[in-house]
Amino acid sequence: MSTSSPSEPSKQPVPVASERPSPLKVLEAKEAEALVAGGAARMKRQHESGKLTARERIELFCDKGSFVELDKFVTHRCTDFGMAEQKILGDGVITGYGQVGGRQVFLFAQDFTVFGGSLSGAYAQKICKVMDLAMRVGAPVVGLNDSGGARIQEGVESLAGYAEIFTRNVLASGVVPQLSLILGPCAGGAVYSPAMTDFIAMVDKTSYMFITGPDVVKAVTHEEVSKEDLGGSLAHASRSGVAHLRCPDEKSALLTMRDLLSYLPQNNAEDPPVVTSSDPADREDVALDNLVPVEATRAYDIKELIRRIVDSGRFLEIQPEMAQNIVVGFARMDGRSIGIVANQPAVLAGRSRHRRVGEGRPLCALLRLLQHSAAHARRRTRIYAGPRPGARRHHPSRRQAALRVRRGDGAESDAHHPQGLRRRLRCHGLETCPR
Amino acid sequence: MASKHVRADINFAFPTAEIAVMGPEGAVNIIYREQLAQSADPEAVRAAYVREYREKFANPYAAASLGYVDEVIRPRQARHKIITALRMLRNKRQQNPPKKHGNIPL
Repeated sequence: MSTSSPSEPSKQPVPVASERPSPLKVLEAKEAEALVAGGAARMKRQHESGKLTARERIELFCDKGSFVELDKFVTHRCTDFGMAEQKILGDGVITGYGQVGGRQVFLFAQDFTVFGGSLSGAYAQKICKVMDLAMRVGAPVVGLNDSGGARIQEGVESLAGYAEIFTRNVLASGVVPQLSLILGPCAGGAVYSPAMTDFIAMVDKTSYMFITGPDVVKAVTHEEVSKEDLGGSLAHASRSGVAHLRCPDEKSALLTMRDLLSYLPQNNAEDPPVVTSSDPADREDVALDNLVPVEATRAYDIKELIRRIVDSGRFLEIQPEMAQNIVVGFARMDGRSIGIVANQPAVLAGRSRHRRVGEGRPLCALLRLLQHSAAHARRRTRIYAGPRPGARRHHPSRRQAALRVRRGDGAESDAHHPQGLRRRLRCHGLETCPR
Repeated sequence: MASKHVRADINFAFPTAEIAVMGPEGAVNIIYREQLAQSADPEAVRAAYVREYREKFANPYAAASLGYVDEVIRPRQARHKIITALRMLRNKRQQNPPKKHGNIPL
């Protein structure tokens, strides 16, 4: 230091300023430390098991360079079981906001390399912070889930953290879209929250959702069940209906969720996005004249009809493997996003069954909440569109168009005349609440 | 001022920020009053305690580890960071409970 005298070179001066490393250097060191997360070995293991790291997933999901991270230096506050010595910056979840197709989204990405992605109190607070911000500004929340569940060392604090997240899932439902990607073996508390969100995508062979794994199931019920049958992507996409989209790998899951967001409004007070369509509104398709067989008993594929009608043949089907006698999904008409609910005559002659109705109903509810246009393709040759006072009273901004392609009998035809259906249900004492 | 707890939306800190109840010298005089009084070399002891306090509290990282500060930023990026945050908040809506008047002195 300049203050030390040249005659006493060995004397160590003790001004405090000289002992402090440059604040910028400290920041850089901390940022580098946060990037290490669970360490290179665990990241390698993540890659070897066909998974990406949390940061790689965010990179793929957000528009390039748009992600802004919050709470990078948050650590847990647990002192039991030697946890005070085990702190990793970020605490196992990366949170923040970014853009998808130029539109704002809030997201959290669980990092399996840090404490197995397990949830601590601090970790839950990070997730709650982005959920609160998303609701405050009216933008979707996307969860990239890869977590073994509660952090056992934190006990009840971890469980309370889950409850805080669940409460926000419920409050945000119908206000902003909530999307979940299951990208690892998620068990216990780690799946209750995604299960409450609007759309869930799973990845083949690497993602699982269960209350508890096969080992505990065996211990409790003595039943032998494989991981795949208990909570694999196919089980949830085709049988339980928990998963809406099943993708072969993480990249396609992330890109499909980006695509899904492009059909959704940012919140329940906003209209879905409009794009300029390169597909002319007056485009005619002669193949449609002969696509539907005249004989009422002959089947045809409703999906082909849908693809020929919508903009550029692009149809994002939701739950394609679940209840295949009904087809639901999103597409665009004249550049505007629409939801489609259609009978599929190619499967079970398109007849309603409990599961089928179950699939159509949540989508309709979501469309209503999000003020989405809806198109119903049914089987009888009659088209109507435009305002219908009775049906539209409670959601004036949702536009509906129904396309009857061939047959529609019983309740099927009633669905096109909501007042008639309501009258009928009332006669049977079935209507419990006014719609 | 304008902390998370009075509902600021986003909180940034420079790496030079000191977020604590009071500065290191004042705090050490209070916390270690007895140790300083009994010490043969109070100045050396004081310097050690000041250093400890500074490392623990007189920086933005204690607040950042609790999530009270969302991000510690490089000062040169301050303008960009603030604009990005304000853009993100452009559509913010928040309601307070209905009441007849604010917090007036009585």
